[in-house]
Amino acid sequence: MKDLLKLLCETDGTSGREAPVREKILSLIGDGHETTVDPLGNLIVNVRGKRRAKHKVMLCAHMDEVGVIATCITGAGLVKFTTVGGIRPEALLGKTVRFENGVIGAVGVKPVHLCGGDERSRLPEVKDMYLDIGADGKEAAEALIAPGDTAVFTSNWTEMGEKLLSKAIDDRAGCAVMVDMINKGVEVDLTFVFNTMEEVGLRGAAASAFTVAPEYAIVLEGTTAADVIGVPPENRVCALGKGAVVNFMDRATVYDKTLYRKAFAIAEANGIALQAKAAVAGGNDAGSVHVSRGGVKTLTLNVPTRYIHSPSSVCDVNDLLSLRALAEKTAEAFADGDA
Amino acid sequence: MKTTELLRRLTAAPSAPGTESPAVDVIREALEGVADRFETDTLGNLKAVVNEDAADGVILLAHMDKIGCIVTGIDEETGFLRIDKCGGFDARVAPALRVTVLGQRPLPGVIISTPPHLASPDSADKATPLDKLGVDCGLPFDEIRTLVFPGDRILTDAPFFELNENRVCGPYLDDCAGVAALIRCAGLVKAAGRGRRLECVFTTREEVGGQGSAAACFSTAANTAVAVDVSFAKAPGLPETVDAALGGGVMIGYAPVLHKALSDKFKALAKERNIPYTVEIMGRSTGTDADEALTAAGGKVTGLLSIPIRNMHTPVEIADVRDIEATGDLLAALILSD
Repeated sequence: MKDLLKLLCETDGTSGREAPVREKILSLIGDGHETTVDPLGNLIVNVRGKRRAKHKVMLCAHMDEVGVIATCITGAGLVKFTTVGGIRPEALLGKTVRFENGVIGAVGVKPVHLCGGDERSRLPEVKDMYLDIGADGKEAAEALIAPGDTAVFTSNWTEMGEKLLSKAIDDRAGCAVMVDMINKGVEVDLTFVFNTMEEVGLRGAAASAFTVAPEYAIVLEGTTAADVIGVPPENRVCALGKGAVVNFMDRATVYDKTLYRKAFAIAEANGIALQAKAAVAGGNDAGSVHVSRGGVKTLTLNVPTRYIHSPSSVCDVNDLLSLRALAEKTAEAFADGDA
Repeated sequence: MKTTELLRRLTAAPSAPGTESPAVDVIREALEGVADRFETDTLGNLKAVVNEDAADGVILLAHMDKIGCIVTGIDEETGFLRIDKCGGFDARVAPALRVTVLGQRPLPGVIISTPPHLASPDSADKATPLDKLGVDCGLPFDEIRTLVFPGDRILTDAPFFELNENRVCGPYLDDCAGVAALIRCAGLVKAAGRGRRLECVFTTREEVGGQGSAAACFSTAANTAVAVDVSFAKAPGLPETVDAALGGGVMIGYAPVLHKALSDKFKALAKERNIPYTVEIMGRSTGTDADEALTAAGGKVTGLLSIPIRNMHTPVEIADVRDIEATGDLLAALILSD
């Protein structure tokens, strides 16, 4: 699982530009599955199990990661940009991003020595930031980058004991779990969907959920963990090393209570660590999926992840394994009519 | 060695203020066969001497220390490290930064950051002070307490890379660029086989006050001292007075504390040898090793050459290697001049 996550995290693809991630996934799952790529770029994989499903279950994860998109080139050859998905200024300043063609840009910073008064502790807005790609003048820059080109944080995969640090764990973790399930084979027929454009409004999932028309959906995600120094226990949302995370409510979805409880029952029965997401924050593809067609019973399972939407998010490999195990058990239960 | 390759090695050496010895090893290797003699002193400065027997010595100063953070404690509950700055670390760029903790062994870590989902709306434009952040090494308290101690240094672990054939980007071009210029100068002087006595001193603790320079300049017989450091290159949002372009050559410093005749001599040599240059004017002291050199051991004839960089004191400092080479060339011109 760890190697799979590394491979996927080191592949670049922000919203609407997921093709490299999709190609990587297709190469990892190999032939022998019924795959479809829909008009929005979603990858739908029907996997035949040992037995037929009583209910149609869809598992999904999103392929896109947060990034930036070039908006214009200045006369000095610097690249102005805006964010694709939510990124705070502090995560961008002084960091590097990689464009689709491999060009690296550095987010410029006014030297602190030249900042007066409260400027030293004030972060510039994204609209006032720029990328330095090493080009002198507009023409030199335009030879490398055009408005509309996108970039993501440069990758920096690092293992810290059982903790894994990388860009894009949100949501290559979900993708890695699904690739592993597909490759290991499943007990019962399942549909796996690798979605596009989650970070810009849960768009891919709206289309793919319509097409797949599932009765049950399980969204696999990397969700925000705030179990860090200085944050009081009641504000930590969830914690690394304490298992997979299940949502009861977030900014996009109020979850089906039966499935939420079932997740805990299945986790307990199988000795899988599971914790509740103890905050109403964030949102994910469930927001699109649960209102698809006439409504879909939807569950979200996550790997708790610190510092998401930054170049350096951190998760725990044990939680990833918990998510993997619970995704399989819940999917089987729902498909078998045991929900 | 090509300048870019030298910079790659220098920037990778984990030399924080007061713990510069990893840089010493890289520099000694680069100057093997060039220096007649190496010396180290109590504060950790490294001196490489060329033309040992020549009279009229010149001491060149470039600092080996790199800005970083220092461990102030370990949080028992989370195992996270409490930190503060060690040198002029810019807290605005700290969140989500990959770092190396220089503990019993080097440990990877990350400075904490708050994701947008959990950030309060009124905190969007406020940088969090370093002592309110912390470093996550992913290890529990019981494990990390055996590996890291208060006082251990932390350095940025960001990539060094080439933006194009002349531009390089990475943390710690301050002052690896200056170190590289001195190494180039030493090589040119050695190859010429003549000139004044050259003492290249790679200093310690510049980022925390210049104590290395003060000690080195006390101990030398050389009457002339030239500090070589980085300065501000033109970039958006900076005052108009910052007008040195990347690729514009070496910056020759003029300041009340610098010896005007020496600054003028640099300018004349640059013109004569077709070395690209700009001038940098400062109204008082320089904020470099030159300030300590000036008053050391009864006073030195002091000069300052600077290499323009963008984004100083961040993980994405950008320099033009031609400016570093021009600086080395101008220093060599001084040593070889009459």
